[in-house]
Amino acid sequence: MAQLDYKSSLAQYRRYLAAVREQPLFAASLGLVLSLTLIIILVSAALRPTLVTIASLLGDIKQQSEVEKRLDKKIAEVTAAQAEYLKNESRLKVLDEALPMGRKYAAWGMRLEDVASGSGVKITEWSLLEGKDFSVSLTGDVAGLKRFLATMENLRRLVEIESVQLAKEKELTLVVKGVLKSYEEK
Amino acid sequence: MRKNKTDRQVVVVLVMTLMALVAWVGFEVYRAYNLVNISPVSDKQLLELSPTLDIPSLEKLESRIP
Repeated sequence: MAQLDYKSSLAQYRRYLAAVREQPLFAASLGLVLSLTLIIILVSAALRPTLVTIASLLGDIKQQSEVEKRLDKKIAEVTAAQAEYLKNESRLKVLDEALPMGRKYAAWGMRLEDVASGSGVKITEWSLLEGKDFSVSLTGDVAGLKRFLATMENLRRLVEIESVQLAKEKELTLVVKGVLKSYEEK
Repeated sequence: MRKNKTDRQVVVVLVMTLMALVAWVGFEVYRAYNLVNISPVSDKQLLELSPTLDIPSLEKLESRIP
């Protein structure tokens, strides 16, 4: 009896499947669902990594080409600068005298003493703070002091004179304060 | 009738999933395109350099007392 029921149930189910298969709406929606599922799987498993890799490589190429462009420009500038340097190489020692690397105040001090003796004035006091802030006191006549000051202003080694004071005590005294310039790499 | 309704709901869910997936992929692609992957070149190397020499200033220095 149970066997008979089973057979009848199976036959009934087959009839149901046959009837359902004939319904176009179900067939279409099944195809649609399967297609969408396949698309979702393909997009997430195959298309996404491929597109991400392509975009990453394109981004790398773009960034590399930007850097390359800037480096090419820099190379052209360095080449031009080298040509300019070679053209004026012999004249550039003037820069070392005007703005030496490091403080190099000893040579400047000796040169200033030469200028003082050449101008007929006497250096009575020196001070140099941190190798750049200087103060020089001199005695002598007006003409000599003027000559000294004019020569000092025109020396190749660059100085920034901040103040000049002329005082009459026992002798005429000139006090010059300023900053000794030198090249400092930033 | 109930079966049709269920099918439509499944399709809507799948379409929404696909849209979200496409948006996610688009975002990932955009992020990958803009992500810096190359080794950094120091700014000092890329700093622009003026190749011209200030000749008038050089001449002024030359005219000063050595």
